[in-house]
Amino acid sequence: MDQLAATGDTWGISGPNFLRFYIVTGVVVLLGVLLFRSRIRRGKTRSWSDQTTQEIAYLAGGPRQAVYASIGALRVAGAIGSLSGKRLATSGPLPAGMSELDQAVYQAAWQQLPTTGLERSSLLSPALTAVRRRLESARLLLSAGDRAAMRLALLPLFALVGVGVARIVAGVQNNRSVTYLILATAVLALFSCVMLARTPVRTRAGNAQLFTLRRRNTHLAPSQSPSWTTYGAAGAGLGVALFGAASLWAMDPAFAAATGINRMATGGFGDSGGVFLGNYGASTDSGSSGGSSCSSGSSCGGGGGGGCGGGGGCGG
Amino acid sequence: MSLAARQAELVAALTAGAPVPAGMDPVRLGIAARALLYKRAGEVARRWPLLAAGLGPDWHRVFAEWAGARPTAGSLRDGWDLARELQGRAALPEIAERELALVEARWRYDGRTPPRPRRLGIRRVADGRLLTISGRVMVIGRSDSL
Amino acid sequence: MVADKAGPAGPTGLIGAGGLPDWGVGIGWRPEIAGYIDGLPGLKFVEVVAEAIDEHLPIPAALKALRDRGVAVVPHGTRLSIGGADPIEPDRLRQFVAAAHRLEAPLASEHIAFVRAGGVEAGHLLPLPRTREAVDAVVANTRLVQQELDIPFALEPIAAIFDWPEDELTEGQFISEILERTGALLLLDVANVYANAINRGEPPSGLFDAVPLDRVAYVHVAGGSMHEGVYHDTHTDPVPPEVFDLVEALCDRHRPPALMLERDGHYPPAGQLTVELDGIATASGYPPVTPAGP
Repeated sequence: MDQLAATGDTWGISGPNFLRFYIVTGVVVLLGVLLFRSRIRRGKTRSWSDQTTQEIAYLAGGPRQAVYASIGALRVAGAIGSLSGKRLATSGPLPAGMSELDQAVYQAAWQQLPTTGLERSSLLSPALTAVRRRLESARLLLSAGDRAAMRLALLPLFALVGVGVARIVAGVQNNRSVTYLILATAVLALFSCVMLARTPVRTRAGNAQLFTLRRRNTHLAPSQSPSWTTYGAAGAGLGVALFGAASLWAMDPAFAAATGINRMATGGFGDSGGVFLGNYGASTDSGSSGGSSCSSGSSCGGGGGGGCGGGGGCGG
Repeated sequence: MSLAARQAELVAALTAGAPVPAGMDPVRLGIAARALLYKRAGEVARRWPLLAAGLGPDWHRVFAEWAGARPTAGSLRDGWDLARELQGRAALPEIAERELALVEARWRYDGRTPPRPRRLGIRRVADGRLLTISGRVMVIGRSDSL
Repeated sequence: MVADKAGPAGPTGLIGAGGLPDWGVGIGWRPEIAGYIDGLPGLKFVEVVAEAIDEHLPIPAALKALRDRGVAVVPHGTRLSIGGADPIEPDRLRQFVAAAHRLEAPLASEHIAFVRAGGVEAGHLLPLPRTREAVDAVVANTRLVQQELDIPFALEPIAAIFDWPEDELTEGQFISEILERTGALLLLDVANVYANAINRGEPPSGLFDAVPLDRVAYVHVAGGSMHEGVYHDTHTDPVPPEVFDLVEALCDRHRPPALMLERDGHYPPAGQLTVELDGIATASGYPPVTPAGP
């Protein structure tokens, strides 16, 4: 300490020099980490053609969304209903041609299990594990190993943050100005923490596939109030797979409420997928703005239905 | 009597419980008024799915009782007014409470003039809070089943 | 069975009423069934509720995709209140015309009805008294629309559960006089014709002889049901066989250039929609638009 104080520089390096060195190293390490993570995240870009509804649902929102997709398909097929205590029940025969997961969910309904935590039930786990494995081997979903590697890759960044903190402490003890170093360290720490918190679950290829599928199936989005009778069980499954629990609520609110379907669920992934609030968050209709022609009409259904829905005489 | 006056008489009879206009068939007008209420209930149900679902088999009856002598103000306001009235006499189903809370968070409505988007606000719901920032509603707290 | 049914307007592909091409079988486009409609390979036209085209929002992507593949989109107004004693509200007219422009529509339509009076919304299409005064009101309002619209405009007579005591004209005279004075085309709803005939106790095909069938731009086909002894044109029930028979009777007299299925809720399974679309194709002799066909 004494000899450093004698030269006036903390650790024998001048403040500006250290700051330059620190920023350059920080940028280089940050770029390296980003590149490394990006390579892991790339995934496969070749087309994914034989995807099942359960795979799409799992990719979009994890195991819970896959279970919800099965519940949606079975409900529209008239195969399941609800009991008190958020439990499922069977209400009709299992339709032919349903997937392994659909069959497992039907089995769960037969045993009158509650929907809460159903994705962790031993009844469903073989089917869910199989779905996850297929998505991982198709490089659409990141494996646990991939995600661990992406987190480990942050170590050099955190080490650099540590060096910055040590230098700040030393500098303060040495009565040196550390304002810029605090700033640089804070920026680096922020980047590191954000990357740690936001380790993705899907590869970029997975994101691209999901984007394409959603765009190709906009008619199944809850904002279109799709007619599930028309699209059938398969359409209902795909709608929930792509657009989540909001589709189940739009499909059958009483059933969704009785079985405790989590309206806000973006899936077991817990990724920040944007909260969809059904009719309430997005577009407005009648009376949303003063002077609109909808303010007193009655044909301005959300998103534009017909002038004469609901039955009981249309006249046009 | 002028066309305008006769048309106004007819609309009042069909939507507001006014007397049957002279010379018209009261039976047929009654059928038309009921068909109209049924259709209106369907439109309001599409805009307020949880209100209708919460009332279940009673929906058409409850709506008809409320709307029988009230001309429509659009399905958003019809459902809103009905939900508030039911809430006032503690007859609003639980899932409809949440729907009403979300709509109240999204828009400001005095019950007389068209609703306006709410810029900023925070509202309590049963198990969390709804935060509105420049027209977008976010849920904070553990609103697990909202 | 096919070619001979096309009257003076000519067989498929030639120009029909108002210079419009023969579109054959179409369907009312609704967001709820957009995915089904997208899968109809032979479709040449759809109709969309004009008020559903919000001027502040983009045209629904699925509707735009249809238009981009050459499907004609016809806006169908429900709230102009053409038969109202007062002039059409300028704002509504502006939005109606704007919707037609944005859809690049070749044709637009509205109802011969009123939906509000004395500042109160009926929430429903209401029948007019068949009087000279009402004809004058419809003609004045139709001209307002035609002044703003640079495409043909068609008017649709509605289904009425009740009639007015002051009626002085028959339905045929009432419609014909409006068409003659405005030059508008006719949107003939066969289900409405059926409903009115049942509810008035008249033969359904009588109207076909009383209106100018060569002015029919297109035809609505829809379902309904009986309640309290009255036939309701619900658009939520299956098309009854009698209505298909009526389509056939109409096409025997003069085949219109286009016919469409109109559904407004309680949408059935895709297979049932296909059955009804194919039923229209069979009854009219136009080619089926569904993937399999009858």
